[in-house]
Amino acid sequence: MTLNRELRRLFFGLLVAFAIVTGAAAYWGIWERDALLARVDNPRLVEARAAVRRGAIYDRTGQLLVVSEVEGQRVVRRYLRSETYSALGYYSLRYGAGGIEADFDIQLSGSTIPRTVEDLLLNRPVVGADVQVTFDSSVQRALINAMSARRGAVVVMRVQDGALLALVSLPTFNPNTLDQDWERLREAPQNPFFNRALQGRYQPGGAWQTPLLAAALSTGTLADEVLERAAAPVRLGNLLLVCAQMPPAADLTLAQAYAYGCPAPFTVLTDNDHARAFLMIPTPIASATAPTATSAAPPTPTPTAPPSENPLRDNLLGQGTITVNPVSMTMLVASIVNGGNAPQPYTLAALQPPDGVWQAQVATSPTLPIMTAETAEQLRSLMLNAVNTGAARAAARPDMAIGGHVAFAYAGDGALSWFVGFTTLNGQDGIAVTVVLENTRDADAAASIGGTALAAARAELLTVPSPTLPQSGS
Amino acid sequence: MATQALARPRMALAPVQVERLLLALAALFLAVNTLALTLTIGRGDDWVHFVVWLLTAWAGHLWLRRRLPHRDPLLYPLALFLSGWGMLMIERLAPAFADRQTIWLVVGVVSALAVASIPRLLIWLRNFRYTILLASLALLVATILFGVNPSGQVGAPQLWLGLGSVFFQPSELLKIMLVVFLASYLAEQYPALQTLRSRANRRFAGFSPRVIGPVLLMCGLSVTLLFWQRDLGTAALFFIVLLLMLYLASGFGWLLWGGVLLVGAAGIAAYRFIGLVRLRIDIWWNPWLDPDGGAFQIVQSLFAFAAGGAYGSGVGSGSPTFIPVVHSDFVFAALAEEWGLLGVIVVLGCIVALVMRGLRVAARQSQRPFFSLMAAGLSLLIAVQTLLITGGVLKLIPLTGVTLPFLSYGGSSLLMTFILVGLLIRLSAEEDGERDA
Repeated sequence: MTLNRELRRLFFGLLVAFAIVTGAAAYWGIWERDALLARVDNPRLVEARAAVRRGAIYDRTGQLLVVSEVEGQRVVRRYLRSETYSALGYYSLRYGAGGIEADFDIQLSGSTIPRTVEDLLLNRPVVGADVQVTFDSSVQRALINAMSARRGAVVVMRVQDGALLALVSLPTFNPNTLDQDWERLREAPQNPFFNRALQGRYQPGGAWQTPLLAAALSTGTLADEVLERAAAPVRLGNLLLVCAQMPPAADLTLAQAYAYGCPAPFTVLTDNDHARAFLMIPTPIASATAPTATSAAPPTPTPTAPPSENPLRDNLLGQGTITVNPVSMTMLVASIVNGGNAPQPYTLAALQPPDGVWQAQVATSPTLPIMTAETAEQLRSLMLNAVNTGAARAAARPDMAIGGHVAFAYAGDGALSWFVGFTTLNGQDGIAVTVVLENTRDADAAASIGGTALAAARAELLTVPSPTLPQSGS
Repeated sequence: MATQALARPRMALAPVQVERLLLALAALFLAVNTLALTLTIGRGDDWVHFVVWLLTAWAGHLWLRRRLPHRDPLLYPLALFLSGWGMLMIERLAPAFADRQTIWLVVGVVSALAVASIPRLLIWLRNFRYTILLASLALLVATILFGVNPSGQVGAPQLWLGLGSVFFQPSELLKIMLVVFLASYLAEQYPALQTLRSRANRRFAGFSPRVIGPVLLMCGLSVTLLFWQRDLGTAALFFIVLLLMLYLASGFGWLLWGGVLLVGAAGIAAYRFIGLVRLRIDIWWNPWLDPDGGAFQIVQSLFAFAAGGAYGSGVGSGSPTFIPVVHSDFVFAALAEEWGLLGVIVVLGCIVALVMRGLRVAARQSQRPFFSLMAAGLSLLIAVQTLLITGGVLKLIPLTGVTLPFLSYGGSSLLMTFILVGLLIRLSAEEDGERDA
């Protein structure tokens, strides 16, 4: 009977066919697995992220700022305090993460937390760690109110350890409605995605007088020598640089010129043989980078004034190629309070792994030496004088020793108003602040916002001296 | 001692015990997976379906033990295991259809038991082959006139006949009836075919028109009607099964090679003249050119295989629902995602075992060509249909759109697959001269 022979052949043929199918399944499931899973058009990537219970974010006083809530099959990220929007950034399944959300993404998304067999068997969602940041929502709120509708950035830092107490960048956006607003925000002329506090590289202008003065004092220049026509405007190409506030007299000491933000005495420094050395001293400040710089927007280059025939002079007057970031300017001011050493900024105060307890994070970065303690002490008194009697009087607050300096810078067709300042707490502890307002020449506004920041931060630090850990499991 | 041990009689299980053991293992597997599904997705009615499956499986076992004690002990538990797994998958992928699928499962098992238990059914089928096939073709023609698509989708093939909320796909019935017709006709012609082969003594012996004419006429009519309806998968299945059954009956090896060439030539012609075929072949050739458009389904299917890996994500833990209509044509990809390569091997292994048992029945009935060809044809239907859909889902061949036996959603498909199994069980009982049914 031949049937059995044909049956046998068919059977083996079918076995081969089924083996090929199994081989193909193994090819896609094992051999090509990594390549397929990594493809950007694989929706499982988003699905996996959507299932993650991202950790919460608290401020230094234990206030809940951001929380993940389960809505049906989805986990929704809620930003609870509008005053902290610009400090925290955003998290979106469609557009990724920015700001603090991006910096602590590994912790918040729980991507490095090992999963237990029980988690895997019961298909429990990945739960990220909770994060406590150094920001203080009360200080943030005070600054948002003080800034009103102005464009610009404010950075507030604790001198003792470099903890950033506030980061304000305006205009900003609501991260709760990011997906709906994305296109509009991307095309908004004032670029709300651009985090001015972290990414901004601004023309320093007169704000550069502070590191220049530090350099001058360290080389023996006397601050109390009277200089003729110190209040006179200075022409720099097409620009006419003037005092932040007109002083009562035309002849001023270097200290008085600094207090009123007058540029003329600082042009004299360019004729000094040590001019190049002066430029070297502020280098750590100019090159310092902010702790976080992740954003949806590329940094917008600050327009600079047209170059003149003397680039060295342009740079000494803050109108050359050197640009600075508000965080690095805050480091400079903090170094004045801290004996000449700049603390390095940080934003992570504590971490709580899922089902764990809060663990305080200690800032371990060393301070950066900027100037001598003697120079710092001299500058400190000059800045206190500028608030008491100079152009920065709007920063003064009752019962507070506030030092500061206001200045203008010129960028493109507009102007920037700067305020850098500090107040002390105990010993070498204190608070440093930098305010930069775009497209305005309003020294009083900048100084007033700076004073508000220092007063709010001081009140908070006196009430809550060190970060209060949120309740475990909260 | 060693001699005594060797001489000890082997403790083989009785067939009925084998069937019971396999059903118990299937029940255990389904219970564990239903528990996992309840824990991950949290729907209580999964257990209702499991209990229905359990009662149906057990009642069927008792019925068969009483009516057909000499049946093949693997066919019934393998079919129940695979269909139970399919039911679980429908619960997972399309819960709205789970009740309906469970009802069809019960109807299918009852139909299989009925088919297996009717004493003279096989004789009737053999004697009324033309009537049965023409009736099936008439139903197919009726779908051209009155056909609907249960999804209501505009432009979708209208392959179903509807009666209220119940839909039936006549091509599923036609598959079995075509095998019955071929088995009956070729069995009748079997002596002539063998004589022709022994006389020919040539490598390329041919059929006489008198012998092959009726086969080509009936099969050509069926395939033409299916082409008309754009049911290309079923048409391909018919054509391949026809060739394989002709090969079995005649022993002409050239049929297989000629069939491959003919399929290739038909494919080229269809590519040129039929838009749907061109689209499917283009997608198959390079789905990565249009992963978000026409190739979305196949690309998502491959992602599912990758996501499953070796052991799968676990039932309820994957994302197979990214694949459109996953519960129908792409249930194999969903299985690969949640049970991994291991699940794929188990399912394919079970189907191969089922086919092997069917071919074993065919081999043991070789003295009775009708029974033998029918058992082989029915087994080939399952095998070829599985290869067509799994090969399509894995991008080995262009997608044909047939269901995966037992596992895909579809009442007609499940019912007819169980009837097919019922026939195989009957044939397996016939091999031992079952006369007690």
